[in-house]
Amino acid sequence: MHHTENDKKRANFSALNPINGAIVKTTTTGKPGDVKKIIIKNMKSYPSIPENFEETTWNQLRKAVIAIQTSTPIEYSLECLCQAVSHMCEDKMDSQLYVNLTALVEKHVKANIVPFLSESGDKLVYLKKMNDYWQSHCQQMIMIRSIFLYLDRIYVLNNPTVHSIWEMGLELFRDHIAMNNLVQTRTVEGILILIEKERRGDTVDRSLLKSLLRMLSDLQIYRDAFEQKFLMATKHLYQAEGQAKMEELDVPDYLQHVDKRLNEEEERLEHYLDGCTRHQLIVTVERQLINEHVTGILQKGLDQLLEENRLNDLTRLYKLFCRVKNGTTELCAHFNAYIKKKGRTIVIDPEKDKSMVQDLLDYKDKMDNIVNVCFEKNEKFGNSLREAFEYFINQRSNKPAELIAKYVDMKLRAGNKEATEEELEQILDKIMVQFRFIHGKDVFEAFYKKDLAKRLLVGKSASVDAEKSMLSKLKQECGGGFTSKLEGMFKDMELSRDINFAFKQSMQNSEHKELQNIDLTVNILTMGFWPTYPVMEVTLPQELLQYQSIFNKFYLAKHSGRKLQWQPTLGHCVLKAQFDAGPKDLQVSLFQALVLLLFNYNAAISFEEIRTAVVIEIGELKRTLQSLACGKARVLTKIPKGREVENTDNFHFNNEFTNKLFRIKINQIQMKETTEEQKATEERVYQDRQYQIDAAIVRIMKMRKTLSHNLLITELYKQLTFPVKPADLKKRIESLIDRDYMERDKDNQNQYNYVA
Amino acid sequence: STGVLLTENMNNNGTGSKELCGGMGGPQALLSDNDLNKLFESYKDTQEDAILSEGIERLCGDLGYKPDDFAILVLAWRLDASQMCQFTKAEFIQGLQRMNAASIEDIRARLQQIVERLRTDSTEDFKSLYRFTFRFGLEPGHRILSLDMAISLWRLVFTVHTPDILQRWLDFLEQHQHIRGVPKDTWNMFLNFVETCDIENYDDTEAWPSLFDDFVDYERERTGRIAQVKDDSGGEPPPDHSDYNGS
Repeated sequence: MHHTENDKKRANFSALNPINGAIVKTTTTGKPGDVKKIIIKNMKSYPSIPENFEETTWNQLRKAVIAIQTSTPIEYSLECLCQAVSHMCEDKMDSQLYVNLTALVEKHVKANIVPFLSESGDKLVYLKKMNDYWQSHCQQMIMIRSIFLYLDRIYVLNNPTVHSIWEMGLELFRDHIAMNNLVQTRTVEGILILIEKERRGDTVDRSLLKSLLRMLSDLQIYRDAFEQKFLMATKHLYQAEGQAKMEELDVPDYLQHVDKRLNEEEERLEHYLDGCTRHQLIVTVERQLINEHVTGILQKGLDQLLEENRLNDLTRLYKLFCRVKNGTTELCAHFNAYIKKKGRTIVIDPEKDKSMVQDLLDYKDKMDNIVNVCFEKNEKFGNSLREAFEYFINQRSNKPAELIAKYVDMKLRAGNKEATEEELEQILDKIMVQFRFIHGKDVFEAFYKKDLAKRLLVGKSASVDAEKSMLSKLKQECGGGFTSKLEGMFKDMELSRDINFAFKQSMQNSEHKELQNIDLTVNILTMGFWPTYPVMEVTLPQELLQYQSIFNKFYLAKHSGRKLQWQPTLGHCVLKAQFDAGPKDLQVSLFQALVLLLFNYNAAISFEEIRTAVVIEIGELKRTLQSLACGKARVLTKIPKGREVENTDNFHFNNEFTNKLFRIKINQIQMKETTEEQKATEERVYQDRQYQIDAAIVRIMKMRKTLSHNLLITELYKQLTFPVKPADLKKRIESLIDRDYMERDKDNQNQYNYVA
Repeated sequence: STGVLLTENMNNNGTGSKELCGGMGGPQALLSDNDLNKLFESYKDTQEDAILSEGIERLCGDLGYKPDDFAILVLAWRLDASQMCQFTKAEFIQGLQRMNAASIEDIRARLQQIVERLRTDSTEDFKSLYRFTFRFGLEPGHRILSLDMAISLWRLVFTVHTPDILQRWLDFLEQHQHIRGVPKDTWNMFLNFVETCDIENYDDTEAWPSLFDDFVDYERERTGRIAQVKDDSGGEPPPDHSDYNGS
C-alpha cells in the first residue's frame, strides 16, 4: 500500500519521473482519485480529545518533517502520521495545521539559501549544487505530502485559494531561492555558459542542463529569467559568426555550416530546451545566418554554383532560402540575372555562331534540370527561366532565328544518322521551345522555307514523318497562317508525283519514241509558296526543249490558264558516261549536264565556245567548269591546269577518268551562301516587314478613320508579330502620309485621319 | 491634285490680300488690264508666254532686290507662283490684281508693307507663306524637297523672326547628308516644332516626324558632351557655345 501510494505521488514529481512534459503542469490537480481508504475499526465509545492533543500531535508531525528535511530517520510510522493528520483535520485544526506546515517548510527553505550566496567558485559546481538542492527539495516535498495527504485532499480541495502542498513547496522555493537576484543570475549565467560551451563544440552535461531548465519551467520563471537572455546570447553569437564565416568560407561551405547549426539547435530543443522556445530560437538563427546575408550569399556564390552545376549545394541553398522571408524572391531574381548574363554570351558573339543552337539547347537543359531538381519545380523559377531566355535570345536580332532554322534543316536532312526517330522527335520538341522565345519568327520562316525547298527538291529529306511532325508543331505554335505556304510546298510535291506518273504513262503511248530513253521528272512549284529563285536563260539541248514543250502541252491541257516557268537553276540530271575504264553514272546539276553534253560532239572545246553554246551566266559557268575540271571528280581536263577558270582556257573530255564508285555525284560549287544569299533572305524579311507594317497601319486607319498617334502605335504593337522599334513605325507612318494614304489632322498634330 | 492645291491657295490668298490691302486700294476692276499686260510684256521671255529667269532677274533689279531676297519669296507667294524661276502670265496678272499693284513702284510699296506686316504680327499669314514655300521649292513632279533646297528655303523663309533653334537645325541637316529629303509633313511640322516645342521638353512618343527625333537625340548628345567638357574645364562654358546655354 505504501508503495502504490508513493508511486502515485511520484507521478506528480515530474523532475524525477520524466514520462512526459505535461505532468509538470499537473501538480495542482494531481490528486489521485483512488486513495486507499484507511479503515478504522468501530470504537466502543466516542473518543474524547485529549487536552493537549493538538500540541502533541503537531509535535509528532513537526519532528517527522524536520527528520525529512534533515534526512534523519523518522520515529513514527507513516501510517501513524497520516492518522494524526487526518485526526487534526477532522477536529477542524486543518487550517492551523496548514499554516504551521507552511511556516516549517518556509523556515527550512529560507535557511538553505546560505550556501548559494557565498562566493561562488566553479560555475559547474554551483549548478550541480543547485540541481542537487532542487532535487532534494522536490523529494522532501513528496515525502511531506505523503504524510499530509489528508490535508491536501480535504482542506486544500475545499479552499480554492489555498495552494496544494506541492505548489506551496514550489512557491517557497521560487520566492526564497530562485527569485533571489544573485542566485538567479548565477544560475542562469551558468546555464548560458554551458550552452555556449556546447555551441563551441565542447561536450557538456546535457542532463544537468535539462534538469535545471525544467526547474525554471516548474517554477514558471523559464521565460522571464532565462529565455530572453538565451535568445539575446544566441543572436549575438550568430551575428558575429555569420559575419566571420561569410568572410572566411566559400558559399557552399557556409551553407553547409548554416545547415549544421540549424540541426544542432534542433537537437538542443530536443534534449534540453523547452519546446516553447523553438520558434523564436530557429527564427533568430535563420535571421542572423541567412536573412542578413541573402544578398551576400547570392552575389558571392550563386553564379559559381550555377556555372559548375553544383546540384547539391543549389538544393541546400534553395531549402535554406525558403526558410526566410523574400529568400526565394531574391534567389529567383539573381537566377534570372545569371541566365540573362550567361545567355547573352551564347548568342551575342558571331565567333560562336556555329555552336549557338546546340549551346542554347544544352543551356536550357541544364537550367531546367536545376529548377526541377534543386528548386522543387517552383513555378516562379520556371516562369523566370522562360522570361530570361526570351529576353537574352532576342538581344541579337535575326541570327538566332536563322541558326535555329538551319539547325532544324541539319537534323531533318538525309544522312543524319545520329538520332533515331524518337530522339529526333525530342530534339524537335526542344527546338520548338527555343523557337517560342524568338520574336522575329518571320526570319525563321524565311530560312526554314529556303532549306525545306532544298530538301524537297533534291530529295534530301530524311523522313516525311519528321517533316510533317515539325510542320504540325509550327502550326500549333504559330497558327495556320504561318505554315500555309510550307504546307503548300508539301502539297506541290505530292501533286507533282501524280502529274509525273500520268505524264510518264502518256509518254509511253505517244509517238515520241526517240525521247523514251530519257527520263524526265518535273516538280511543279506554286509561285508564292516557294522561295523566289533567279530566272536564268540557258540554251537547252534539242531533246530537252522538245521534252519541255511536250510537258507544257500535257500540263496546260489539264490546267488551262496557268503559266509554267522553267527554273534551270533547280534542275539536276543523271548522265550515262563511257570512260576508258568503263561506264559511269554521273549525278550532276542541270548546268553541269549542259556543259558535259557538249562533249558528245567535240572532244575539246574552248571556254568561249562553251559559253556561246550554253549561254550560262559567266560566273555560274566558271563555277560549273571548276566543279567538273578542278574538283574531286575531274571528268574534264582543263588546259592549262590551275584552280581558277579563265576565259582563255580550253577543256577536253577526260577519258582516263577512274573512280571506285559506279554512280558519282559531282557537287556544284556553291556561291558563298553565308554572305550573299543570306543577306538576300534577310533583306526579303525586312522588306516583308515593311509591307506588313504599312498594311497594318492602313487596315487600322481604314477601320478607325481617325486615331491619335499613341493609340495607333499601341494598336500596331498589338497586331504586329515581329519586333519593331517605335521609330520604325513612325517612318512608315510618315511614308504613308507622304503617299496620301492618311493625313495629319489640321487642328491636332497628334492625330491622323484616313484618306479614302 | 496640283490643281486642287492651287485653288485652295488662291482662296487663302484672296482673303489674305483683302486683309493686307485693307482700305488701301479700290476694287480690283480699277486696275487697268492694259497696264498689267504692258508690265508683263516688259519682262516676258522672248519664246514662252511667261516671265523666266532672265525676266525675273530684271524685275528684281528694278524693284531693288536680289533674286534670293526674302521680299522676292513674298512676291512669289503673293503671285502664287507654281514653281521657281517662272511667273506665268495668269499668275503675274491675277497676282498683281490681288495685290492692287500696277507698277514697279506699287509692287515695291506693297512688298514693303507685307514684309513689315509679317515682321510684326501675322501668324496665319506667315503659316500660309511657310506652306507655300515648300510647294514653291519642289521640282516639278516631285513630292519631296531635296535636302539642299530645304536648307536654303528654311533659311530664307525664316528671314523675319528667325527661331532660336534654326541654326542648330540647319547644322544638323548639313551634318547628315544621307537624309533623303524633306517630305511635306515634316516641312509643315517644323513650324509647329519651333512654335510649341524645344529640345528640353521634346517627347519622342508624340507624333513628331522621326527626323525631329534624330535631331533632338543629336542635340542632346552634343550638348551633353559640351556640358561634360564644361565640367571638366572647371565650369566655364566654351565661349562659342554659350548661346546654347539659354535653351
